[in-house]
Amino acid sequence: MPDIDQLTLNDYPPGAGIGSHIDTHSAFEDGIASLSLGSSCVMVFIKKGRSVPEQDHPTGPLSKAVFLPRRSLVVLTGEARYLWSHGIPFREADLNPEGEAVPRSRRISLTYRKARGWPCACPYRDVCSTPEVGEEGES
Amino acid sequence: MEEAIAAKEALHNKKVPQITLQPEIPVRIEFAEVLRETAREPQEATYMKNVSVSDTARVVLPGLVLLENFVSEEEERMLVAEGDSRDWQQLKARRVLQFGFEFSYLNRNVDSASPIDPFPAPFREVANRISSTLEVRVALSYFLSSRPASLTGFLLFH
Repeated sequence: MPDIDQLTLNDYPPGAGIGSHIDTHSAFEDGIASLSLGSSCVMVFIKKGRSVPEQDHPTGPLSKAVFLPRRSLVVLTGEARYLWSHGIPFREADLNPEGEAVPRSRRISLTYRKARGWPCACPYRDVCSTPEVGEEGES
Repeated sequence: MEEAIAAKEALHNKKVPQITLQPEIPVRIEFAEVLRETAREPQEATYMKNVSVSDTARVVLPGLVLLENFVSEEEERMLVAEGDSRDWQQLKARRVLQFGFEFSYLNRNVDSASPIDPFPAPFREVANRISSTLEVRVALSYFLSSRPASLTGFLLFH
């Protein structure tokens, strides 16, 4: 991430989270880095797109939960940035990798991104906010 | 590895007449990384209803890099204090503070023609650390090299 030019701080009261979303493809380039301060949390990732028929799947969408320790940096690139949505569940405590409950305290995240000045060209066209162009768009 | 990444960042797809016989043809730089712990094949993913955080916490998904202890406890205190000294925008369940460019929560986009306040120095220092971190550069470089060729046309002509 050579030219980071956008920073968003989020201040979450204890237990607060954020709904699952993919950062707008056309707004930011590849590489989204987020530093967790004050508290750990669990970030839940859900795979999107045609390759995952989440509505049809009897057991629900493909998902993974990742424990973000306090003072850690998580960086989303490629598939993790463009194809998986991410969110933080609203809850009082998370389980850490050792299986222990870690209460949420006030968490401040610093999210570093690079604003994009042109259309997104990621390979995940069915989830991309930049519309398909040319003859490939007909399928 | 550092040298390979630096070479790619500096020369890939650039015309360098000093080292090519045909000055109009850009140089292509590729390299391979020996797979290590952080770059291993992701384990088979679990499905939503079966998710147990403790089971999946160590499973890394493709393109995700997690770096523990990225800042010290002292830096953490200093960064939080820097944030606390500013005016925040209240959203429903949290508050936000932005620098560089403003992301609009209404249209979910940024206006890259209208800069806002630059990063305060302590936040810029973290940005510089992220930019120079090898694991981050490897992850970004890997995705760039794995794009299908048809997208190169998209990048060039649109």
